[in-house]
Amino acid sequence: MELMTFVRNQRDRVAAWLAIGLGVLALVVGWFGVSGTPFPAEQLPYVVTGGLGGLFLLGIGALLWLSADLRDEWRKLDAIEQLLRSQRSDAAAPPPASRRRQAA
Amino acid sequence: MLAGAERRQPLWLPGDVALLSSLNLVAAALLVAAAWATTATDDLSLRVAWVNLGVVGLLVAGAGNVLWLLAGRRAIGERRAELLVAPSEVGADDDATAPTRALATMAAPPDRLVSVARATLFHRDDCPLVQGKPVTAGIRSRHERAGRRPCGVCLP
Ligand SMILES: [Zn+2]
Repeated sequence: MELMTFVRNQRDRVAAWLAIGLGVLALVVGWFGVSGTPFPAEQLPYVVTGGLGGLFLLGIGALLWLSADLRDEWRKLDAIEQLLRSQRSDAAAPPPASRRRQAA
Repeated sequence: MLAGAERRQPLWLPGDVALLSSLNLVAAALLVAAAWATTATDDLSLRVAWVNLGVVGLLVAGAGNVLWLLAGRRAIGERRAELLVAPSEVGADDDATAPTRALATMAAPPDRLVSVARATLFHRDDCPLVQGKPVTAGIRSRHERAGRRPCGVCLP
């Protein structure tokens, strides 16, 4: 299943979208709650749960998404370091003149 | 030669994880308290005060998230600086083909520095003190930021 593979490989990005979706939902619910009553005192609970709660969830979603980007970059640096090390051990074996030889 | 089983240094240190989770937990607690308290009182000005507490919680969460992302950015920047050297620092190689030139702009990798979990020292990977032990590799700045000091035997 391609979708399952995607979910497994991109767990943090799926979680990010989930948090963003929940955040938007909370904002919408909060908006309906606030617009449903003319009394400020009754609107405030919706401001907290829907508004602030929704923003909190949106923040979590953005955090997860940007963290996934950073983790990707970190893995790329892992690969680069591995490449450099394998090149250095290649270069250490033969005499120094053949530093740029092609792999036979 | 690698010393023992090798684990790569994670991007975020345990301290970063602790800071992020504690600030977000505090924020969540403040938000829940604000949500509960705004319904528990009929006094408008009291409700407004509790909303302000919720805003404080949101700011705490935002600060935690920003610090977390900055820590990740900084770790990546430090590691990239140790791995890659700007092209101007390397003599231009006229006969080099483009791929070789690209590789020539990469520095020789820094000495592999390792540490044993929860140890206070970091070592060269061929240090006799860490042979056969499970070690985590990382760049110098990461070890130093985790509070580790250079080993007195291998003098990394
Ligand atoms: Zn040592």
